[in-house]
Amino acid sequence: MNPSNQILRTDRRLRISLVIPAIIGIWLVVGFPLLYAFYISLHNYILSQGGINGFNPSNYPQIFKDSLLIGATRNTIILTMSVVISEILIGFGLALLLNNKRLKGRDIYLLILLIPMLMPPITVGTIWRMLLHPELGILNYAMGVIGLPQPAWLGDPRLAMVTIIIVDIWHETSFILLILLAGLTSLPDELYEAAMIDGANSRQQFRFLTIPLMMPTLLVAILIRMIAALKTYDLVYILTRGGPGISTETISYYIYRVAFVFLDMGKSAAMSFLLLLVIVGLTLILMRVMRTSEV
Amino acid sequence: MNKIMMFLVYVLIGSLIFTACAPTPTTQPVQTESPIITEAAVVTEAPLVTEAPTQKPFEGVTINIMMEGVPDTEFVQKVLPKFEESTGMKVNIEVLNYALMHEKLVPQLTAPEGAGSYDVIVVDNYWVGEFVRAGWLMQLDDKVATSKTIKLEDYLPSMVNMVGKLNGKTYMIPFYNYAMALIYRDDLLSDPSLQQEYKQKYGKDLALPGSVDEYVELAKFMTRDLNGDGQIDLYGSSMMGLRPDPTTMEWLNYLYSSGGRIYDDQWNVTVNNEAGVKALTLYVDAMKHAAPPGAPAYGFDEAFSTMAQGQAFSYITFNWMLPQLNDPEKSQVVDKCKVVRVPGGKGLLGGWGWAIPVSSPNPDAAWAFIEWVESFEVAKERALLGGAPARMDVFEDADVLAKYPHYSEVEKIVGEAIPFPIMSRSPQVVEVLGRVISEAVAGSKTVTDALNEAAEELKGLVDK
Repeated sequence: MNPSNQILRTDRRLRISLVIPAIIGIWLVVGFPLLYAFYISLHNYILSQGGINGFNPSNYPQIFKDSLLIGATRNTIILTMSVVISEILIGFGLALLLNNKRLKGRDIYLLILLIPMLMPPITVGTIWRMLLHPELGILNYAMGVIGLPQPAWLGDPRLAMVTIIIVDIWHETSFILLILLAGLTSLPDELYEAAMIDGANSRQQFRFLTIPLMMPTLLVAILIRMIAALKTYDLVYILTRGGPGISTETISYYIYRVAFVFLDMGKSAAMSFLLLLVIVGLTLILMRVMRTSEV
Repeated sequence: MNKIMMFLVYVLIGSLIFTACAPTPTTQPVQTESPIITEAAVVTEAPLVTEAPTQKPFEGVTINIMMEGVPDTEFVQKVLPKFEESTGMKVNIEVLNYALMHEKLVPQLTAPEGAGSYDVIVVDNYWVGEFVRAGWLMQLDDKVATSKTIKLEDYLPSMVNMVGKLNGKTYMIPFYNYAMALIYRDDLLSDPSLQQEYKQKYGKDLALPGSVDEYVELAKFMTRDLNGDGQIDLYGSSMMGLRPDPTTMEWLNYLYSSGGRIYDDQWNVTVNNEAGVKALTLYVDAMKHAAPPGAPAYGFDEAFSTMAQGQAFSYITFNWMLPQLNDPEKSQVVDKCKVVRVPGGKGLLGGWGWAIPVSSPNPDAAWAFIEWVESFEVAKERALLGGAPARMDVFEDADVLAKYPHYSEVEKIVGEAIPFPIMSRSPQVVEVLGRVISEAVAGSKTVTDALNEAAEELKGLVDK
């Protein structure tokens, strides 16, 4: 046997053997639950009535007749659009400010701005619930001192969703900031130097260099944030439980109610699967946009 | 052949990694079942052993209990060391927020016999129908029949019917009550200038309300600006409108006291009848005109803190919140409040019972713990610490009454209150009611539409 062939073969074998554990792991922790959830979604499965009994594909058509889910979908879209747009704008603005290398105390600002990201949502929700208490919270106290109205942040059905959006922006903007700042620092200095020599002012540099160069990073940030926002559950659970009325009920919170209060695993698995399809679809679209924008 | 071997090695490594990552509870049954105990028992019986025999029947046994983070759980924790010392048993109490308990319990309860992680659980009356119907709770009749410390006749019948027996069989031992009551500021009710103003306005004396209508009227009257800065700083009722259980539980007091019920005796839905509409109309009225503006999102904590800060005249809550309002560390209205029956007389009865799940790894140790914790002496000790009794002999004990004179009123509150219907889908009923009440409060549905919608959904939740 040719010795070099032998080396190639052991090399390939090593490569495969190093990868296989990861692949098995992924199949066990992602693939199996996913397939099992799909299996459940096609059956009658109510936890308090024993195990899975009976094939029932009508879980899917039933979803579209559910008026509560339609309301939840509307709320989720409003929430996702608002938080993604605001967080990208604020996060990009902050990243541009922090990208200035002559800025004094830049690391300290960054550290402070990153604190919200380090907190788990349950902590964020609990802290804000106290801050927002209409009678005893510090926010309304401060607003009262300077003569502003003191709204019932979570108790007013017209305001509750706005409040959740504000809290989400407070919590998640630092994540966007981190991604975009990393993108900005990795931009090549030579292009900017060349542009300066050609007489481009800073606005032109921003418009014709920064924006196009940052496009892939921006799209990644939008994609990650959008997927997470479509699944918003924790803040709603802690802050309003979907209330007042159904003004803040999101798709994920509704799925949670169907699964863990009504114990209807079949229907909730079907809804989760549809949500997954929507998210996968959006991801594919965004990835395509990303690829064309890179050319 | 070589490939197959390689594959097997990977599977082995993989499974080792996964078992290493698995949470520790899997190892616990091994500890609790340690065979050393039985050996020790044999040794102590042997006449040759000269050392003093250990009187600790459960040395080395650990039991796990899931409980809610409420005062009564703290009192159990306070008296627990004595039990652990005398029996050698280690009692782990896992304290959780109510909202997390049900979803954490259900997967444990569906575990096969003896394979769960909880030896003892406390069961909320809302879960009784569901747990019993699913066959998750051990029947306790034989154990009670031979028990020296527990006789169900010692308990208030309303408690036994709710968190003791179901269909003639015993599944739980009542633990504590959370009958709802009205807590009000007596100093404001007996304030001469308020009394005068009330008489001028309504032509009658300022007094405790006898019905829900009168209560809402009084609560609206009490909502006012006390310090004259142009902003309301006293609300008539510190209400809680958070979905699903706070608002449902509060509203059921309005419903029951207005003569309504969720279901009648034959399980026909009656929530949307005249009494139901009246109760929800009054509730929405109170929420809009007598409650703090944030009340539609208040849970138990916010409602309490508003009351404790002296910003509310009254609130409908658990009878045992009174000691909390008399605690100077938590409250600014110490000794100003009193507890009475809900206006209209029929409050919502709630309560917890001790139970042993079928999946309990250690049912004997579990029962030993329940027998101890529910014995008269320990129940009395817990009551003296501020616990909410379920036993009549504790309610009527001279020492307990000397410390808490209002317990004679509380015994009546508990005895007359009406529980939530016992059915396997009560959490779902709470969820549906909570949503429609909140929708009526938010104004996105009219009272009648909201109740009709609820009635339609509640029909499908009755046990068949």
